[in-house]
Amino acid sequence: MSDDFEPKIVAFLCNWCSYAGADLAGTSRFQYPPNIRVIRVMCSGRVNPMFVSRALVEGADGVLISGCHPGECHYEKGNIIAKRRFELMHELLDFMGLDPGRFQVSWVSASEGVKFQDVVTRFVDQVKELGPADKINRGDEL
Amino acid sequence: MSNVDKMREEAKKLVSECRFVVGYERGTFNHLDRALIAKTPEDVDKFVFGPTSIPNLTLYAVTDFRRPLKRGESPDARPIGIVCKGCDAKTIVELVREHIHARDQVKIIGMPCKGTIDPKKFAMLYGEDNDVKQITWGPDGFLVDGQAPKGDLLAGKCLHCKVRNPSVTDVDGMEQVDQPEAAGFEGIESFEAMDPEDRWRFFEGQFSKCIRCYACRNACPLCYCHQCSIDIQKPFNWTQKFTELPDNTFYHTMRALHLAGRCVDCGECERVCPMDIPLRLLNGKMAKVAYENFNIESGEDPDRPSLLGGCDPNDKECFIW
Repeated sequence: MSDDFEPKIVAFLCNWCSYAGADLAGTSRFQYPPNIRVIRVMCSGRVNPMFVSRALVEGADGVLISGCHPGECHYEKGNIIAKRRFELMHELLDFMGLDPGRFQVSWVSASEGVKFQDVVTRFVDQVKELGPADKINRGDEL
Repeated sequence: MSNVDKMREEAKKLVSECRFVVGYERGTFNHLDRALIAKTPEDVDKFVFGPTSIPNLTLYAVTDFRRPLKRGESPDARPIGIVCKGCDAKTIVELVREHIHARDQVKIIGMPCKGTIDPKKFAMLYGEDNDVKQITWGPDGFLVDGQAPKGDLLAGKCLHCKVRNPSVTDVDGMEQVDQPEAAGFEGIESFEAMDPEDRWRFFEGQFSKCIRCYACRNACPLCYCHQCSIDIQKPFNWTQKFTELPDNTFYHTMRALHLAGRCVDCGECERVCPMDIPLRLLNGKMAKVAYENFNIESGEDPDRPSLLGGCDPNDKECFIW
């Protein structure tokens, strides 16, 4: 894949941990690739697996979901409930041959600015390797 | 007394105390049966059962339980009688688990079944306008008008059936049939072994065919939502109504996920699909993941925890960073 491909990545960040983690990464001047478009959600349990499909259909190259570590959810078990959905979604994308690498979940707490930087960098590299998403992309501008 | 006579006798007993008893009658095409809603003992006399009794009749009960009442109408407290194969009885277990109705609101006439035919395979072998009168179960395999069939007719869902004798029934004394060893998720595993690009090429071809008639959704006894998320238009459409690949893929992904851990593999979606899309493959994969990763099997126990409604901190994390 050509080096100048810059993937568009939709990131769903949980309000209590990952969004604050991203904020910390910003205020601490940790550099990470500017490819992510952040959508703040109140909990990773808010994220319907259909958001992932919808994002891929509407033209995203990758979808990142990030929430509190299991057991540290602001709503006690929102992320544990969500985990099963993401696990199923991942298996289904894999089964259909739809590049499961375009879909990533990570647990980032509010104090882990470094981890957020690391997750985004790794994920952007991973999506760059896969190239532009063209399998179920409807081709509209995101 | 044969199972069919026993079924008629029990249905006659039930028809007076039930709203209706739903069973199979001979269809317009002689070799395929259709549903009959019996309200009198005379209707019950038309009941038949055999390898051509394919539809899952629990759908008729679900639609009746979910029907909105007319103004001033009080709910009917009488139960509904249903003639069930093993796979259909699993549907009832799942509906009871989801509190669509109580177990005592349905009377199950559980019929032991040696496997149904696949109408599409049959049409391929015998032609669309064949003059076959009757298909029956012989000592080994099917008998088409008393003779051995021209080829394999068994429906895909019956290959790995574990419940030839229904696990729940309200009628005792049916003659049981042999239960061969079930092979688990064989078809899914061989598909998983393929190259990811080949898998996508396969699904790409299949999903491109889809005309979004929603027959799969309408025939599914577990797709009972009053408003399906694919019909929701406010605050936004989940997906467009186009029959193009991205939207079709979205629809089938959504349906597979909504049935994850619930689908009992009754095979209705695949049977009614006019474009022959192998929908059981997606649902089977979800059932496999539910069983292997979360130890949840649908249609067995009405008290089991729900897959997507429940949670367990010890769940596996296969891909999460």
